[in-house]
Amino acid sequence: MSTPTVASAQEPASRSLTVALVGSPNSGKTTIFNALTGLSQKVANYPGVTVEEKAGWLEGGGRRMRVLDLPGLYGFSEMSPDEQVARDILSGTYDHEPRPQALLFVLDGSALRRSLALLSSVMAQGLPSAVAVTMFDEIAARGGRLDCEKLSRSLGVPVFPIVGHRGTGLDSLAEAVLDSKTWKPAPPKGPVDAPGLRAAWADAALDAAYSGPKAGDAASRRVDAVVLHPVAGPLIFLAVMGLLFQSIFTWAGPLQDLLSSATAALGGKVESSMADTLARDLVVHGMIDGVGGVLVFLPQIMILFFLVHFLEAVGYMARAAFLADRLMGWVGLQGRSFVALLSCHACAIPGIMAARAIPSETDRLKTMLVAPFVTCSARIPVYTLLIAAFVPETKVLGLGLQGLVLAGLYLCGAAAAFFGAWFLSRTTLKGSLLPFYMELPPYRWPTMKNVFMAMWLRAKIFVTRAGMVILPLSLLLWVLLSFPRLPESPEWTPAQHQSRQLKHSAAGRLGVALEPVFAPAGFDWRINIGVVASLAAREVVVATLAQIYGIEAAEEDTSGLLDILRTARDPESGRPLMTMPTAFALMAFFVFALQCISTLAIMYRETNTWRWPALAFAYMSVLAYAAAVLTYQITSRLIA
Amino acid sequence: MQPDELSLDSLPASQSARVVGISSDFPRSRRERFEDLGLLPGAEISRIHTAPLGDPAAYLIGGGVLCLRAEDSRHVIVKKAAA
Repeated sequence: MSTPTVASAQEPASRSLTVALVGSPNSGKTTIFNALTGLSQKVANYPGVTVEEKAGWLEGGGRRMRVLDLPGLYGFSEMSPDEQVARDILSGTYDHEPRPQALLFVLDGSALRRSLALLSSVMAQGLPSAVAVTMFDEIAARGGRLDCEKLSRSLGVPVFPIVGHRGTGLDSLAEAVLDSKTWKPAPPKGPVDAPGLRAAWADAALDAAYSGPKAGDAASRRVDAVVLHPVAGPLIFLAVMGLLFQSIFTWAGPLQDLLSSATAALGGKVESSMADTLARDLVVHGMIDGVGGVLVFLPQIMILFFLVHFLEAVGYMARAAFLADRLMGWVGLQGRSFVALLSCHACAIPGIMAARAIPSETDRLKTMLVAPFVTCSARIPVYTLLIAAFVPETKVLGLGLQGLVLAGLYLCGAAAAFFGAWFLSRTTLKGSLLPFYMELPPYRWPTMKNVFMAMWLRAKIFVTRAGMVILPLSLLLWVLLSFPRLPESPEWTPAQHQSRQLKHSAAGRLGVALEPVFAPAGFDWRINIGVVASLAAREVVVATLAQIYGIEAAEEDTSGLLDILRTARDPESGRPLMTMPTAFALMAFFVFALQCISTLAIMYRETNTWRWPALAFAYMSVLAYAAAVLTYQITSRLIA
Repeated sequence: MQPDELSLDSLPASQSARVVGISSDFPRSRRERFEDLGLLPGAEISRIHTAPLGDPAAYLIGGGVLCLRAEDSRHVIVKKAAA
């Protein structure tokens, strides 16, 4: 994979020839795309929509062909952004992508009839075409026989049988694609506007070339009898989702710890080898911490995407979505949102990226916009610190009060996500104009190459695209927290200097300026700085509070901070700095607030516009503020 | 609707039926998508699974399995096939 090749895959293909891959979702299109382009593929978004643009290069015998993987489609509905983009590209009316020179139609061997009906509308676009029949082995496994020569004759275009997971037929297909200049436009298939006529045409084409039973996949029916059983189905669902949930916490945990300790070690090394200057501070706290803060999400993203794509390829994800659909449908989401929101308990970033699997654009957006409400692992240090400091260790009805409060905060997050989705469905993102529909594909052993490629591409997208946004933003935050500089005074301890420097900084001044705003929530300027700094990542608020309260930042354990939080008093007024109502208000704030640059960055990358992240940040901040004020006002009256 | 016709969402489990058509009060974009998915007059269809909370349901049509919500499938009119 050479860099120039990758970069140019996205450029308008003015000089090179482009072959478009067209087919319905689950047709095996991705397998063919991966086989043709390998690691040269590049994934982006079409402007303004959450529709993925995938392109790559096929090379061989000194020839070079650009392969464009169009979104999967069932038809050419104007109501679906995915299908609209595909149709515009094929008809040559799309602004950001010239019309391809040829198209390769991916005909799903396990759904021949429906695929052929789609083929007739695609061929009506008049481009030179060829057909690849995927899952060719499944046709025979069901006792059927498809004669590719006869099919080719009745279609008037070349037909290639493919068995993706064994790699059969891929070489001759690649050769044919390289030679696609010789393909001819398919002869017109009569009127294609009427679906009934298309279906009749598909039947006729099939009658000529196919012999065997019309029945579906009996083996999958037997598996579904268990997997979708009214009792066993939900139990299997819970087990699989539990495994998924566990894996992103327990399997990713050690890797994440490894990455963060590596980052810390690198920071420590730089810290000890450089003089105590601003440059050192920039390298350690601006750059190393910034990059480390991005990389720490990688294990979760890779493990989650490996499992999600594996389950998708096996065929289980569609079943899971079927089982969870009613539950999610109540708040205007759909079954596939469940997995995305579940992942958000680890971190909103893989959750938002997993929302990609949701076919309807409005449901995809709704899921992304409520994802940050779900209690992610970055909130845990904030919650546990404040709970330990301010919630008494008593028992209520035999249950520890501290644990109950934590559970309550989790519940609040989930409730906010559901209510948010319900609200969005009723206001900004009203129901889709398309009906809800989902296919249950036959169960099959996945092509592992596809699973690994999917994981690799997500990881690459995250590191390159999100990193490009996250790094400058964390540098900006570092500047805000470090400038203007305060001259050092020999009378101050380093901790005192750090604390005063923070108050003197732009962020500190912002904290002071925000005092009137946050006063109804019981926040003083110190907490305001913590809130501003936590934009880098929520857990940063703990370290920032420690700095402001003048604790040596080197102290790893938080027990010092616990005592300070409980006992610290304002040097001038003598009032306690943090009280129970303030602590509760701060927790309430973090339940709702989108205090996370990385989430905003990934939301931007997934939606390709700042509009949605800005909307999410705005409405979540308003909610967070209201919740903090309400909590403070109520608890302070209850205690008084 | 004729006396022997019923909406798809009320088709009993394992009962085989044939699609008669899609009701005209169903928005055009939704109707066209259903037709793309094979819900065309004469197509054979049967209900093979129902999700735990009663909705959605999975139907066997054209050799494939399609999941539809009742809010949409109630607009599809079917006729029970002779047992």
